[in-house]
Amino acid sequence: MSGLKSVPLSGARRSDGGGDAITQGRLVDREVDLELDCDVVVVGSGASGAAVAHELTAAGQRVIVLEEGGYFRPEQYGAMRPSETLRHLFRDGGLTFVLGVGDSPMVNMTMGRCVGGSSVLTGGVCFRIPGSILAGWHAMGLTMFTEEALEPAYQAVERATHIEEVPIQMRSQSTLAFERGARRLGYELKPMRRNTLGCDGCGRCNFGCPHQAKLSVDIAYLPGALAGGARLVSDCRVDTILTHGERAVGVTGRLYNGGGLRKPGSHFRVRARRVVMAAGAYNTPGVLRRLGIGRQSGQLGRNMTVHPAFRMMARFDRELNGWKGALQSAFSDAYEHERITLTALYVPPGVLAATMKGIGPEHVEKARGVPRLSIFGGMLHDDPGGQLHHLLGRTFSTYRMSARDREAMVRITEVMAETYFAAGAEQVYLPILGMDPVRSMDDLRRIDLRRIPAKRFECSSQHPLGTTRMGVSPAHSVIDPNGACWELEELFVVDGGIVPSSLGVNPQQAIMTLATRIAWHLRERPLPKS
Amino acid sequence: MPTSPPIDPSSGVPASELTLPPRLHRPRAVARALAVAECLFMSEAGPPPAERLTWLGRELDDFLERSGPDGRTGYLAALFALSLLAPLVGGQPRSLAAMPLEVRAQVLSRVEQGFASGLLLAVKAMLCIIYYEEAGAAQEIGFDGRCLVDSQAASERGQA
Ligand SMILES: Cc1cc2nc3c(=O)[nH]c(=O)nc-3n(C[C@H](O)[C@H](O)[C@H](O)COP(=O)(O)OP(=O)(O)OC[C@H]3O[C@@H](n4cnc5c(N)ncnc54)[C@H](O)[C@@H]3O)c2cc1C
Ligand code: SF4
Repeated sequence: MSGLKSVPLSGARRSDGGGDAITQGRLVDREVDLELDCDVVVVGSGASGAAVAHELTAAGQRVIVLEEGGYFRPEQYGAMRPSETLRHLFRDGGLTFVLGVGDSPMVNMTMGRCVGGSSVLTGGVCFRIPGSILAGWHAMGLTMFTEEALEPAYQAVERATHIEEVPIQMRSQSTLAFERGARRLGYELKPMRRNTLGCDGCGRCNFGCPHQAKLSVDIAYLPGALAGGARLVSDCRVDTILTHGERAVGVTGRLYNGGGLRKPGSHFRVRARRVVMAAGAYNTPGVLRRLGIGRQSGQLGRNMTVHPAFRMMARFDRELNGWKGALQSAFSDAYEHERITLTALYVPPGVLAATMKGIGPEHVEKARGVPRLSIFGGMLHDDPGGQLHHLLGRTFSTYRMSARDREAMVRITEVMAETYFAAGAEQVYLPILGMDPVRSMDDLRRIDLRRIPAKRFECSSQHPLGTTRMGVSPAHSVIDPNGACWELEELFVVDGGIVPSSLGVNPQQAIMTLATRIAWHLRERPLPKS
Repeated sequence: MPTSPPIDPSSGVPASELTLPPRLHRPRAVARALAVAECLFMSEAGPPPAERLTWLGRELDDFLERSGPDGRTGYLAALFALSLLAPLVGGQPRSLAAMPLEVRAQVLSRVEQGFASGLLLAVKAMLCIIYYEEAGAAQEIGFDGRCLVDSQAASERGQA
């Protein structure tokens, strides 16, 4: 960083629109190193970072948000095909894999890497933290997290992101088919709550809403923060935290203006009186680790839960055109006691076709059946079997599934297949690689699912949590209940990493709520002198 | 409830950065992938139209270029491993591309049912995602989700 040229933010070349609020790092002159100054620097512009930036700006603090990914306007990402969104807005093009250790599945973990973070790519599903989970946190000593204490922050998030119930008439035929089976087996689907306003059910939420009807944080929080004076720099990767004595005093990193896509170029340094890490559960530990944080407790990058998720497809005798309708309109907690949540979903036809066994004419024949397919998902409230590792500046991860989760994975498969047969499906495609579809419950019973290696289960995750978990003791956690890092003053963590256990339900509302609660605490806490 | 307009309606990543480059970055990898694609998407009527495969190759190349080093390395490694493994599994002393289409289909089917099924799924997944975004390919399987296929339509709807 020696020879860093000091350039105020206003001296950097701006995005072509000339607006003051956003500087796109990729457009900054390669010869220019940035040096910026603020009260609070927020690393990451996703669900948690945007909520914190919004709250602190409203409280009059000078905030700079730094985001590794690019800045795509809603009209831009809304016009992309899924594979375009994958390559531009997802981390690693959606190809991040968590290695299964022992008899565990390989997990395809997807995350956002853009202004707005993973929030731009959600299905919009929102849940408050279930009471049973809060009870578990209380057992860990986190007794401050009660329904009543969280209520104001819940309400603030629900207002800002407009969380509403999905009307029953927006359920797709795919969801209705599954629901028929559920009813016959004696359980109900409940309406999902989502952060939407004016949703028309076009079903492409996971690739960015083209109508700005999903109130992801680039729509719900960042505009207000930027209008209130916050500044955002995109295409810039934070590598290290600057310290002075025992205190965090800023961050440094590189801008992606090195020529060519995603090539680091010039350096930047942001001096701040307070540092807030919101880079996501998968990324924050890598930055903290460079400072040696986490050695004391040994917990940094550990305890990762992922909510392993499994998709089940079933073919019916008629066309369902399941892509028409709200993407995730209903769920069931009927199997909560087995730590399973069932959720409606839909994925693009290419993904459906890819997961069905077959090459050539066999593949084509199955792909032609896509309009007749229904699809439903099951998610596990898992034990903390994941861990992050760092090698040569890169992060990779491993996941060891517990024995009871292994059993629950089989139960998810059984429950969803049984539901589909009860609904009258002709064929059910189990989430098992290379397996032919099953045609009846008898077929299903003949397969010993418990003997099939976990590696053959097709598993995905969108919810890494817990890698910088909060707790009441520095011996067992990385941050305290107010988001403060135990080992460095004025360093706070607010992202999904702080969630101390798996939630069993989609986490964005919980993450935004916890981040809002921490922001309110920071609002009251005097900033240290520069 | 948001009260402010979008962040900065006139900025965002410049459109020029979103277009496909004139030349392939990784012609060899693309050729390997297309050897799988030609056979994967072959129907009773024969292989898919050549121009559709060319389009698929360019899109895949762009995808790999933009998706970052970790995702790219993983995909290229899976593709490379598949191209080494498939001839071994199929008992064929030639590369996938050099095998007649029917033989290639048999070999890949064997891979799909064996221990390397994950490798094939990784390669197949990205090929399928892109392939069925092509309007003609989507139409052939009866998919009319406009916002997921045709970017022009999505764009018009986005601005509506
Ligand atoms: C496809 C998909 C669908 C989902 N659907 C749902 C859903 O329906 N409901 C739900 O509740 N949850 C859903 N989730 C999960 C939800 O989006 C996340 O749990 C939530 O956004 C996490 O918030 P976060 O702030 O921790 O991280 P993120 O929102 O991921 O934000 C982190 C940001 O930090 C940036 N960053 C990382 N490292 C650096 C660095 N070194 N320097 C600068 N910036 C950095 C990243 O690029 C990213 O933009 C989904 C996620 C995905 C990917
Ligand atoms: S289903 Fe609704 S929220 Fe999802 S992309 Fe379509 S309009 Fe947006």
